[in-house]
Amino acid sequence: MKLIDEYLKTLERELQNKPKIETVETGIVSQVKDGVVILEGLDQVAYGELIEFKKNLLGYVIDLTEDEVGAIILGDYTGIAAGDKAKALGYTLSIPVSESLLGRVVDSLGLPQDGKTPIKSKTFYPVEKIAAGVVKRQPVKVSLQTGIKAIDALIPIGRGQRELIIGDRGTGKTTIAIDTILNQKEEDVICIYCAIGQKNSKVAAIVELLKKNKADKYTIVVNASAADSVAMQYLAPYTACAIGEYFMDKGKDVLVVYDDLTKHAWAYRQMSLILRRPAGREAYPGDVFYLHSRLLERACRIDEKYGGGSITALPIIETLDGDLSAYIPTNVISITDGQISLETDLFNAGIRPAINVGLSVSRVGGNAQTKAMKAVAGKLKLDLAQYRDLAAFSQFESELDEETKKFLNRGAKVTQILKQKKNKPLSLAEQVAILWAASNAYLDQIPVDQIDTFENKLLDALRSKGKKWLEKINKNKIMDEKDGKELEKLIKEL
Amino acid sequence: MKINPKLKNDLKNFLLERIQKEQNRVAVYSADALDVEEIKVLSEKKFPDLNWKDADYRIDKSIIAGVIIKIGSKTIDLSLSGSLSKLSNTLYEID
Repeated sequence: MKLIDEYLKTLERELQNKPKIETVETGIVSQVKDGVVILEGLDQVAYGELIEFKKNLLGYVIDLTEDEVGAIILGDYTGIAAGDKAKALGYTLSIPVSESLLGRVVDSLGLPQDGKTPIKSKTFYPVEKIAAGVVKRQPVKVSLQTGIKAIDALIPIGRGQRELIIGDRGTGKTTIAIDTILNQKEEDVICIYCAIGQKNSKVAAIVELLKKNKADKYTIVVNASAADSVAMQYLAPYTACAIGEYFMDKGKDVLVVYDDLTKHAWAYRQMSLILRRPAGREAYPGDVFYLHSRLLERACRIDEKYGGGSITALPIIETLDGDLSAYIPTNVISITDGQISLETDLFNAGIRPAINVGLSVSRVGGNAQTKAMKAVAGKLKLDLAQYRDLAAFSQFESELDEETKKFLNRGAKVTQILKQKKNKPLSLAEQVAILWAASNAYLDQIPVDQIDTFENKLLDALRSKGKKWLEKINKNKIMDEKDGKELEKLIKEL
Repeated sequence: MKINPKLKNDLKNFLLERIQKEQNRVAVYSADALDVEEIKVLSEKKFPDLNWKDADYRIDKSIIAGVIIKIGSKTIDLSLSGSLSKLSNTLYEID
């Protein structure tokens, strides 16, 4: 009944309106290809403008030639036939953004995918936008805690940074990103997980995991799965970024995970080849570099004068056979502020997260690392570097002097302590305590296979007896001598 | 044999002019043939800016009533079928 009333009301309103005389740009579909249509007419249409086909189906203009217009179809393109009419709408692609997006799963157009109510909003953000300029930015100097010991200690990430996660399939790339999201529970960071060309089953598992850990309250999932058209896969990261910009403009810190940009490049390659753009290396079009640079450049930390807020980007790239020098990986490595490199060999050897510390860097994160972590991590890096040199060398030598043996022992323990179970992020103070114990020789006497037990015992003790200590470190983010003595006492009691 | 560049240019300009003329030609679609009176209203009162000199009048039953005026890729839809499809779109959006 209610619906009929609404229909009638709308009808009445429509009939009362005097017909307006408006000129619209129209065109006719001349060719339909996989997700791309070529149109004739539409002489005055602009790049990036939306065009409408029958049944509210939208297209997005991405190719203009002398007498033809190429557009990608946003949605199901199977109904479109040659000869269909299309009209230009006169505005560019924008998505509805609001606080109600939190906890939702949406597609590249901001339409819900979780079967709940549509997202209602009066605010629209353009999907494509030029990144903030030099004047509006400020350097990265606040840390973004991932909750993963190896990363927070050795490859620290700051808010507003772009840190690439790179590795072969099945090396735990997504796990690192998801763990980072899980760790933002107390940190007041809005998280956006953007799945591009992923299996829907994998995305469903991630959504489930986020819900189980109560991380869905501050997380938005943008999903363009392998089953969606390449047009949707191409737009997904830009949509995720636009949502991020909405929250950033409100002064919030945002974390965006792009999982993964390899598939995004594939989607763009398919579109470009169908549009007959000249193909370059590996058949990627010439602007494949700009494709990712304009996306990642939108990650930034805005100066307080302009409202503060930041977008941290964690793009993910999948390599084949560990080849970091392939086309897309090198491109994205050069755009980002560092990378976390994951390796199959390490993963199989049981070192998880399988981070190759030698190949991983964070170019700006050092400024953002908290003082407490800096104090314990500086020594750690040195220990590990010496260990790596010696370990390779000592395989040929059976007789070693005491000093070398000590280094080898320390290195093995540090490697062991940097292992971490998945979906178990640790707070800053917990990490500091464990790493402090490692760098102050408290682990040297413990056999490698018992390090795990020691770590658990230490964590239990901290969470029961050392609660105040944890709170203090987490709040001040500084560890002084007094804190060290307190911790020493606690460790000795174990 | 090489074509004289001047000749080539002249031919190009001539063709472009013809194409532009063809493209900017006014085409009027209506369900039934328009009489002189109706054409006068359209050309003199409603849209005096358009070039009505060699306008093309065509009949298309599917537009039910009213007229659709096309100038190149620009369309002015004043037909009943257009209003109906607009209305159906509006109703479609109620959900």
